[in-house]
Amino acid sequence: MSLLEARGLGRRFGAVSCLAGVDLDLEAGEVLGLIGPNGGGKSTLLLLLAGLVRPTEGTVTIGGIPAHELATRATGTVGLITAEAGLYPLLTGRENLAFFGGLLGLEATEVDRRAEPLLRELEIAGELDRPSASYSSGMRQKVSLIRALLLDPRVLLLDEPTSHLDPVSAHTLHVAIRRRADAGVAVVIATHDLHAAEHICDRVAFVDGGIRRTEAMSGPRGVPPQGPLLDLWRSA
Amino acid sequence: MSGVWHVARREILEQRRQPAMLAVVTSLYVIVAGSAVTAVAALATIEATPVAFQMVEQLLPGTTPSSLVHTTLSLQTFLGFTQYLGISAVACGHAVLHDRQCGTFTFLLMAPIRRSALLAGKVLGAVALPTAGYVVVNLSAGLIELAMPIAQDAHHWLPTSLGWWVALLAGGPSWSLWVGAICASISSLARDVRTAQQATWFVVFFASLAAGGMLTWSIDAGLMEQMAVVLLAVTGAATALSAGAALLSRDVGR
Repeated sequence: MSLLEARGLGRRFGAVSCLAGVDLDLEAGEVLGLIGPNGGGKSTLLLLLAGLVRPTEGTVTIGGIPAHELATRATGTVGLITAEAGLYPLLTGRENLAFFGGLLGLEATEVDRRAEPLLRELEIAGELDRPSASYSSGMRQKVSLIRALLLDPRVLLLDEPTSHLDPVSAHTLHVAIRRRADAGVAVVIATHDLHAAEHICDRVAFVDGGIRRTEAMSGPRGVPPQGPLLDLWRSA
Repeated sequence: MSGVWHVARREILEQRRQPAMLAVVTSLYVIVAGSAVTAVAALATIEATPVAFQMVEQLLPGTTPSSLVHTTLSLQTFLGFTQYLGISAVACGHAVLHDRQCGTFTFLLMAPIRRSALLAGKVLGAVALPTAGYVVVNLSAGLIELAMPIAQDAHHWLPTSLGWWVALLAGGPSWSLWVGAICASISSLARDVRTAQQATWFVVFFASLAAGGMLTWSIDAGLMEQMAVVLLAVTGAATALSAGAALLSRDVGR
């Protein structure tokens, strides 16, 4: 039995079919990329997998539990990142993490303890006490990733996490995501960054109203080493 | 209950980071209450000045400065309530809209907290500071008016009557929860921001006006009527929250 299983998964909004007939299996440590046109159903598929939207047809389970029951029956199994990061602008990054951690049952001190190594890994240590309104897009997404990782999820769902990011921030995020996969976290990432998908993902699915085609990626997995332009960017 | 408090506390924290907004809300209360205090003081001066007293009798036959104090205080009560309820409605509607615009609403819905607790936390947090401002400003105004001898005849509009305290501490806040619950539910369910704002403004206008009128009437009507009005508001707030939570759970319940 796979960690994440979807069978005949579909969703209609009124008379409009957004997604239909999705069959999906994802193992621990695997990275699945979702590519496809805008409006093709990638975000809806992620919402279905996150249990935020109930399927109108088919089923989706994670670790044998229906996705929509995960929040109460297996809190923290799924970590989610959306394109807009989702932070309160007038609160600092630390206050944001403390609030969302508290909703998941963590004390503020425990949130700090868990966030500490992630802050170092994402190169934002010491920047968490500013209001998040002053953060760059990259900084916001990094805090969002820390929030998603607070409870060591078994599955990470990422909806265009690097769409507004500069190349250096996107690179840092991709490295962190791939590292989680290598540590056994199953990752589903919807992206328009085909280059990144080619290198990070083990499989890539083309989504347009359903999964039209799936392709296994060949070669060693990982974020490509930094090229001269990225080095130039960092050093400048 | 801890989930409700957790959500409410964050809402209050974010409001505290908006001192300009809090200053505007307090100023609105002060304008209405201050105008009434000034009017009562002016009427006291008129009563003490024979020429001015005669002019009032000529201009408004059958009225005296004392009877105008009664009208002023009832008008202050009505406007104060309506204004407070309107502010509560906007604060609650915006509290949820803000989450939707920031993209945080998705993460709230993913959390292991009941939808009703989530909405209740948003409403309680959003009305907390506006309620504190409303109580402080109106209590201050009431105490100042109480010190004016001309206002003694209109004692049931002042802190000397139990009904006044019930209206200030129970009536106002309970109706504030009612309009707040409606607006928070609307904002969480509306298809888009524009629809949510339009619906909220309808509630602000009509519901606040109706509830403000009912609260004012109940002070005049008696304590039993007041308690019935408070009970009606609490029931209405609970119903609005339950309905909002049920509709929010129509896809994925919690």
